[in-house]
Amino acid sequence: MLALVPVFPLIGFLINGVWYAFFQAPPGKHKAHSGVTGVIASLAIFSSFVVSLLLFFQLKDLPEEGRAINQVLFSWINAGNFSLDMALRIDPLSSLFTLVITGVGTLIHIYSIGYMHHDETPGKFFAYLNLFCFAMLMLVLGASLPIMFMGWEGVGLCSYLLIGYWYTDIEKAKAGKKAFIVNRIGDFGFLLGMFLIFSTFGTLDFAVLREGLGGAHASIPPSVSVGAITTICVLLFVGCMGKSAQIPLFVWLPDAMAGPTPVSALIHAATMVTSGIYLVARLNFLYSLSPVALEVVASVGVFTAFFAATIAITQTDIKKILAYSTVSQLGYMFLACGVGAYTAGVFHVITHAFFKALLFLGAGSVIHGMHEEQDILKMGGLRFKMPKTFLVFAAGWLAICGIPPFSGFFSKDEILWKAFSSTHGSIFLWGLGAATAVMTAFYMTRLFSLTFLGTLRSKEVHVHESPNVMVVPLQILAVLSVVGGFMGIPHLSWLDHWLEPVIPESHGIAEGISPSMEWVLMAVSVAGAALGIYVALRMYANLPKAAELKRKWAGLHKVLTDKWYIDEIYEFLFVKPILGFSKLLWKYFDVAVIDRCINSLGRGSEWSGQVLRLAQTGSIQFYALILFLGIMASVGYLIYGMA
Amino acid sequence: MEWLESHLITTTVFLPLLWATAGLLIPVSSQGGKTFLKTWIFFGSLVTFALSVWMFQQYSPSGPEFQLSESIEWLPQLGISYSVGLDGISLWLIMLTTFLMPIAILGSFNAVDMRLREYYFLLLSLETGMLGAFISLDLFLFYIFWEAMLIPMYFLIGIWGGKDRIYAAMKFFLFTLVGSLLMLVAIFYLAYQHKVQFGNYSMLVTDLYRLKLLGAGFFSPQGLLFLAFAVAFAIKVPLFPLHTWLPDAHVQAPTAGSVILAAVLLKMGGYGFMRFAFPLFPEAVATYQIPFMVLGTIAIIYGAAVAMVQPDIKKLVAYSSVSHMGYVVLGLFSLNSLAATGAYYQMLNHGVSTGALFLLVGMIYERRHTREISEYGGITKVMPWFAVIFMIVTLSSIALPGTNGFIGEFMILLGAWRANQTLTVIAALGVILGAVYMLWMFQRVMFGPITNKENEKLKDLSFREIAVLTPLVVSIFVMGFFPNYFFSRTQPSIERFLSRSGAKSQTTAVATVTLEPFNQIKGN
Repeated sequence: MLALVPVFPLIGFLINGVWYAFFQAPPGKHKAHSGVTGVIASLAIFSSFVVSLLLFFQLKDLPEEGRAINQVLFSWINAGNFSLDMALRIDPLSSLFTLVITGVGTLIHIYSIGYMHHDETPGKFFAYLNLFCFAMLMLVLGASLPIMFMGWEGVGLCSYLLIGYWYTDIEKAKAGKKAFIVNRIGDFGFLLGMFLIFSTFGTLDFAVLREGLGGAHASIPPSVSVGAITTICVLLFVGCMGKSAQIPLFVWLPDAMAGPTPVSALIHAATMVTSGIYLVARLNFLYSLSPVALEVVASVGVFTAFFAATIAITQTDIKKILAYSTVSQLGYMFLACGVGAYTAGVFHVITHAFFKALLFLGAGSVIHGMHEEQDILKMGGLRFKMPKTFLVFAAGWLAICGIPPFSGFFSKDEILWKAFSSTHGSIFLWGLGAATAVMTAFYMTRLFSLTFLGTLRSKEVHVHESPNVMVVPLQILAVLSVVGGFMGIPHLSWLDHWLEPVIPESHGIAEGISPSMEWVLMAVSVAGAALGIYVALRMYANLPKAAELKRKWAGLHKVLTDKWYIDEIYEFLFVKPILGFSKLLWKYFDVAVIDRCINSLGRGSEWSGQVLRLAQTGSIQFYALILFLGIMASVGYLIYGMA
Repeated sequence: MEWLESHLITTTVFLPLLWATAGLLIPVSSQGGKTFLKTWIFFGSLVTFALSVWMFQQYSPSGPEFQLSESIEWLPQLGISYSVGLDGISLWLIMLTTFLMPIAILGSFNAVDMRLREYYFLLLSLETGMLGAFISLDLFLFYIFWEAMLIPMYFLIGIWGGKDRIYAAMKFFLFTLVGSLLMLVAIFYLAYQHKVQFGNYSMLVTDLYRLKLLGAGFFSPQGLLFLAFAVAFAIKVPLFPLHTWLPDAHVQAPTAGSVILAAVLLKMGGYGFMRFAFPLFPEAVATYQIPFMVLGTIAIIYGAAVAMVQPDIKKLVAYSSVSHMGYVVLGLFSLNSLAATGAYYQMLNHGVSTGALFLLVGMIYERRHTREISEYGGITKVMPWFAVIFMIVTLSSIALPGTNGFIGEFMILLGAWRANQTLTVIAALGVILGAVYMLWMFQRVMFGPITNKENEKLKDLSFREIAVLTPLVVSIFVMGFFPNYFFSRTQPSIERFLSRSGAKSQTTAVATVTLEPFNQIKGN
């Protein structure tokens, strides 16, 4: 049954893909309606959701120690004494991920039926969307690193195809290519990490690796050095930096917003970008063995969270703001993993999937209603024109700001508390995290205020509410964003308990920290969020004043608007030099050095031929003859000279 | 029938030549005659393929030894004989050759219109040469086939090639000839050594494998003999810095020539290493291991870097071959079974995916008569089928898991990691660069708005073209998901060649769900 989870979307992909390629793609052929293709795709992913649910209950009935279901499909690579099975495995961790992927995925598929209504090629779109779900499910269900890597690159491919979905716009095609290549840089690390794991431990299977290291109480085997484990963890984390858009490989995600909005919601917010956290959580027993690696993860996470939030403050494209906010929230998740609170990281993955999918789809609804307008400076007052969207968006907004009892509050608070109290935590990590939380509340309120409050600033647009096929999924996500946090209430956490077989619970609090601090910090972070909201609401209720403030800080504002010039710096440091050097290699090494040597060899023989006044024919046969005679002479020498 | 069964190899090898000779008699003055000739030739390549399938079925996958062997004395005084046979290494390369030949012929059905009879005669005699080289068990026979391949290719490039065809053909010919003549010297020396050690001349590989050759140093007799073979094979691979004939030859060759050149001829180099250079000179291989791994790594990076900046699609694909074949050399010289099997698989992969790439390039070339990337842009809009297939082949070329390319690169790098970690790290950078040059090219050719008016009216792939590409696309996925089907037939022979070439038998732990292997590792 396990294999059915990824197989359903694969079937959906094949149906839509074949139908599209054979009967819709050729020029002049009629394109299928988003209704039909969308229903096929939605059914496929919904079936997969049902199976995931069944598997979830099946897992629940198993005894805790043995909560895993394996399925070996076939032997994939079997050469010499290396063998690798195409094997799937579901356990509490992957079960949660499959539920989120298929559950949120189904809602986004249904939403897309409405959103892609006017698109020219919905058949292709839904085929890609299903293919993505297939790859994503392989990623979380893969029993070993290579199977996971297959899904890992597969989602990268779908992301590439979907970002560049409207390929006639060269900028969008370029954004897709950028995403793939930046991800490949990460995959380079993933590959090397995999090699090192294999040469160190002789296995690539997660369960074998875990058992071999001692299961829940893993320890470093005597034959292995801490350095090797640190190297493995950091290399794999490079892969996570790519996929989960962390410094320095985050640059592709904001550009990825070129894709259709449901894609941004599904791939670039709710699922694919969290695969890095999944990988770290999956290998938590390994990361926990290396304090240095954990430190790297936590620092990169918290810096990314902070850095991306600063950029989000000044952006005016509604999707770009959400994109940087995603980068920032992913940073939080890594911060959690980096202080050893993997469960908190996974918790935030889930709540974030709810509220960020909601925010993106809400933004999509706004964009749809505003006729493809994405600039929030041209919006305003939409609460009257789009009351349903307004309501659900408000739920997402409060959730991401961390206002209790919305879901984001619980997970973010858990992360901040662990960043402070865990043995790997520090006040510094907490401080940056808390500052990010204030900024988050600020920029999200800014977005919310400029979009829904005030009055409409663009005159010529006729705004309309979105159809029910789009609104109903939003409402479901809104409910989830409101109540989703209760699965992880501190100290009573169902989630901690559920993940226990995969991620051993750690109640470790660093010395000198009293448990009551948890309540103090919670109050501080809620107050911080409230402050952020208050300031933003005040500021953007009076736009001329906000504009004046902007003028006052013009320098900083420009740096932030231009995203700290990171893209330009990369262009200058890497892209240009590599291209230049390659050209140099080609023109001056290949053509000028090697070829010239060869040609002069040719000329040399011509010259010697002229000297001998025998080779004036210049014919190839003649050279051959000379060479042949030479050989005979050499043979003679070898036989009689060396013997 | 019985005769056929006992001479299956010989029949398969020489059938294309005979068939093409008969084709010379077909009058081609009329259009009907031309079509008849093409059909005749295409049919011939299909019959050859069918014969090779028969041969494939006769082959028993379990054994490492040569099978279906035939042997006739030829020049017994010099120990030369007509000896042919099949093992797991030659098996798939033969299948690759006979499989690609009909595809290359049908794929360029309308590409050539001049001197048709000669063209097809050369193409099929090329097939005989290639097949012959793969099944020769006698070094002299191998050498003859090796040289025989050269001639048809030389003419194919020189007569039916592009603008600078003469220069390209000359370069191709001289490079290969110089390399192979050194090998000839070594071959004679080996036969003589056999006389010294065993009392009679012999050129049979199975005899020569028993030779004890002196020395392990770089310039010991064994080292020199290895070099003589290695240079010939390295030129064919082609290995940096002996690769510069390839871009010229590829760009100038007609489509079918490019396809065969990339898909099969380059494999001669890798095959030569596996069949001759490694088992004959085991100590020398160990001595030269690191230098060749370094060259392979340089080729991977260098080929990719130079491919990145090519303005000409065909040249880009040619340099990508340098990069891909660099993986093969890296894998072979890692001297362990994982990497060597990966390297062998990579040769097949490269045959399929680069063959397909040259066909695709040929197809748009026939429409627009230009290979400049900048002439294209936005082609997806007008050629959706072309776009889909081109995308799949591109993915195979950048080794996406699920396609054949991944299996090869993954195994090579994983195996090479055991041999030398530093080089593997550098070589793995090719994974990034490969994506860069392929996707960048794809974007410039296929995406964006159509900027060039001439591209607006391009016709999508015809039924014939789709039929040509379909088997390749199917192979990409079959080889990506079920490599075991290939390995199971090849593995015994690869193990044999490795054990003979002195590779330390390395116990690789098994990655399965069972827990024992890990405990063993831990125990150590």
